[in-house]
Amino acid sequence: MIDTLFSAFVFPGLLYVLVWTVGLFWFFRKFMAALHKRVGPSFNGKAGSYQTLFDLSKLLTKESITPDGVNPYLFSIMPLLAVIIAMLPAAFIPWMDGLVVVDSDYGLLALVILIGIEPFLLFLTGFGSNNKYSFLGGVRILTQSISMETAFFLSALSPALLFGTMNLTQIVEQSSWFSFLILFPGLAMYFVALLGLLEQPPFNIPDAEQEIVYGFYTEYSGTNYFLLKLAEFAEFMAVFAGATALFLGAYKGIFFDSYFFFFMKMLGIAMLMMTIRAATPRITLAQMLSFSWKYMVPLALLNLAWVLFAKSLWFMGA
Amino acid sequence: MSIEEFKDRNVGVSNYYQVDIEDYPTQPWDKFKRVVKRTFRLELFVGLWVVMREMIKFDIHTVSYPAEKLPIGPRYRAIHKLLRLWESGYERCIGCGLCEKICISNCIRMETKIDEKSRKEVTEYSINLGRCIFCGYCAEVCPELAIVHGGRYENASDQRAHFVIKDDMLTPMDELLTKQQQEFPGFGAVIPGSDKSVKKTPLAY
Amino acid sequence: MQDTNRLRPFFENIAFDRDDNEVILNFGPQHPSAHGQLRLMLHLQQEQIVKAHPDVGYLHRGMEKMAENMIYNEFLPTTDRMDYIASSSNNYGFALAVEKLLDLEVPRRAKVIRMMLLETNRLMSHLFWLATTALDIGAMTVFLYAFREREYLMDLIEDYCGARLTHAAIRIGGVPLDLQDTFIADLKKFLEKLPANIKDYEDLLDTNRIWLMRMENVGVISTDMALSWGCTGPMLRASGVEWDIRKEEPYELYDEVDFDIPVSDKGDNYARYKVYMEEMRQSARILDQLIPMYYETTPELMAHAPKYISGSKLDIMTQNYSLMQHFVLVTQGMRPPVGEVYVATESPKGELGFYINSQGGPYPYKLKLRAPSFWHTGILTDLLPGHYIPDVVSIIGTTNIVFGEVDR
Repeated sequence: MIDTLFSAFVFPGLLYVLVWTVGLFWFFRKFMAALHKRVGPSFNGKAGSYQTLFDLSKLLTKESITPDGVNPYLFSIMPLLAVIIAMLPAAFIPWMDGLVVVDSDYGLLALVILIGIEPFLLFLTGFGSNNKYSFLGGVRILTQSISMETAFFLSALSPALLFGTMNLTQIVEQSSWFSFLILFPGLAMYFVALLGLLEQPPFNIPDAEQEIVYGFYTEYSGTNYFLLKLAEFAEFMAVFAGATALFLGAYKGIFFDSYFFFFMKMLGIAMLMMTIRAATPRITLAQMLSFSWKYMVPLALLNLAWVLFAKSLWFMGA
Repeated sequence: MSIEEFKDRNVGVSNYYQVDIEDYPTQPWDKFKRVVKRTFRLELFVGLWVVMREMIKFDIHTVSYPAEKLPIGPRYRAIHKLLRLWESGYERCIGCGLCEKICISNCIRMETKIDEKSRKEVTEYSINLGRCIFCGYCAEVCPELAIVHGGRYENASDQRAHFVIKDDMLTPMDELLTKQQQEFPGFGAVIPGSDKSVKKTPLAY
Repeated sequence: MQDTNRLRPFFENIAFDRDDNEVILNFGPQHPSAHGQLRLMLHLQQEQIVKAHPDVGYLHRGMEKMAENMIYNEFLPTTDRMDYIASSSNNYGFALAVEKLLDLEVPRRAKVIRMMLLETNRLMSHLFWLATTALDIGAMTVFLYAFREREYLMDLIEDYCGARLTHAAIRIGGVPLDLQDTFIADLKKFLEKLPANIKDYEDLLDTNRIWLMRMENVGVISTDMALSWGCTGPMLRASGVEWDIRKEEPYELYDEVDFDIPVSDKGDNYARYKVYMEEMRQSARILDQLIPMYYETTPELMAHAPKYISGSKLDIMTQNYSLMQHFVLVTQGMRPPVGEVYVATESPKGELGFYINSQGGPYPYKLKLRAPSFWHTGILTDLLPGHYIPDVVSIIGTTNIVFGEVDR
């Protein structure tokens, strides 16, 4: 009992996810600064490591302004729900050999569903603010998430097809270099759909500061804003961890298994995402829709066909 | 003239050249070919490579102000300075009022009186830094090279009208004696090397 | 009806009963990408624009009226603040107009220095344009890289005239300062690095499929539309009209320098982008040719016209009559002959025109500033309907609107 409570709340549960989120935020800012040839946070703490904590605590002490005419349930309660649902997928991921909070037979399904519900909650926040820009942002995120979600779960499904199970610990146990090669197209597609789902460039359409003044985040300030940002970064962590667990063989390393490799793989995906963020312009909504439904979904289906073919050749009886 | 005649006029063809854009396809088959060609071109990786290459160089383009400050040139136009004559140590300003007259934003004020030696003396001289646009015109019209611009640029204040008075700007005597007073090479300066081209005033007129 | 005694803000987007789905969105004066203060009222039909109405005037300072109370020399730093990104171009336009009114002959070295300043300002303006357009479309790295190049140029100009943004480096009748010793060396270093940097930007953007998707066939301005709305500069040249004032009515030394002018006949955003990039290369070419021309000139900086222009500082300090003339010119102002003049120059944004009507007094009787960005803002009314919201941002980006010019 104490064991479960400990793993649910401290490690690898709530506190662990919070620490990871804060650390990931700091890493994003420093890496992005290096790409842009500037310094990034450097003032508070060694190389700016306390900067994120200070920023978050500053946000918590500011006033959360609730504008006139908003829908009170949608405006104030949705951020809380968004945070809780964003942090849940971390419970299903196997961090180390045997270190998983919930070891269920449908871990992959839970992961995909929880990640997929998040954008809908963010749309409701945009809908509830009494602001045209927020509404436009909310509509955009709903459109984008529906399109990218299809490609996302189709490509997330391919390891389950290959290994014949939806249990994440078993998927990780059975993965190897060979399965990595087979699943590589799936990984590429998962990555692109990930960019779409998390509203990162080149798909940062709902978050487009230059067009609609911050989208559905516009009316938020103070604690509400902190919760929404926490939800966004916890979602990052959940999706990256999902990628590492499904495709890259979570904690498996070169000669020995260790948590260190999990860490490095997640950072590798983060670095790739940041580099793409620095170098690519933004797509319009119409172009994103056509890209997703004309290219991504057919390719994801073809990927499924390839995985089934590979399974029939090499993985029969697994 | 009409647009056709305009396009037909006799202009040297070597001057205007068309930029290099390929034609946009109108036929469906051409469009399909372009789609296929663009899908398999790997130019996004070229962009990623450029960004990564710049990052690997690890040279930071920014300066951590206020810990490090960039040096500014000698001609920079910031808070003014009133200079003294080298030989005698008197102030150069004669109180002619040209700077007050030319000032575009009317920010210089001076008060003068005739002192006991029958010479004009400037008792008060102030510049309203809130209004000053640091254009350099006062330095340019001064006939004595008295008012010049200096290099002090950190003059933020919490009031809209904040002033420098004569004591703030005038060179202190010890600075003059240790030969630390700098001439201003920017607007209103004498061209270097003009010592040789001084002409005598024509006496017979 | 509204009660006029208690004025309340009359927003068009509240409490209107509409049956259709039309939304009125205020692309408001405070917006991260409105390039200044542009209020663009858009009538939207689910993210597609049906009607667009630009509203300008948020940066109006009354420059043309101020000129009626300032002597000619005093007005020069005010023109700095029109197109504040390339401020020497505005100074130069005004100085050229007054020189034409006075019929002055500017010495050759002053002409070379002025041309160097003009082309440097053109490079600065085009780099700024590239940075902000790329930022609006989402490529943040090009923004930071282009601003770094711009910092080099601003350092150069700061070492020359003392300020980075509001130069006031050109006077009526010439230039007040000679180039400092390190100018030519720094300029050569910069010009060596510039082609590699432009190639970097083109690698990041030119064939990038997302950039092409955003820029091709967006904001197409046909030749007739460009001519009827009064577009000039790169907007006109990208729509197929071959017209550049530097070649057609050359001023300064533009007829002695060898350069080409890029033209395109597509008229969309991508054509304008290519025209700007090629113009940057041509400016670098002109600067390369100006450096040896500088060394062949005699060091004379201001025109000799004691009736209108004060002498050099050496003359003022040593010659009595120069001092007297200087005092008279500063306190009473120069009085040009009666007449009117209109002079147009090719600023980086388009055709910048100055119309001066003088009645013989020290102040101009009427001064009109023809700013290219004003006309380019007007074309948005005809251009935007039919596009989507993200296209608004990219179109405003490529039309290169600067609000100091639009509102004056």
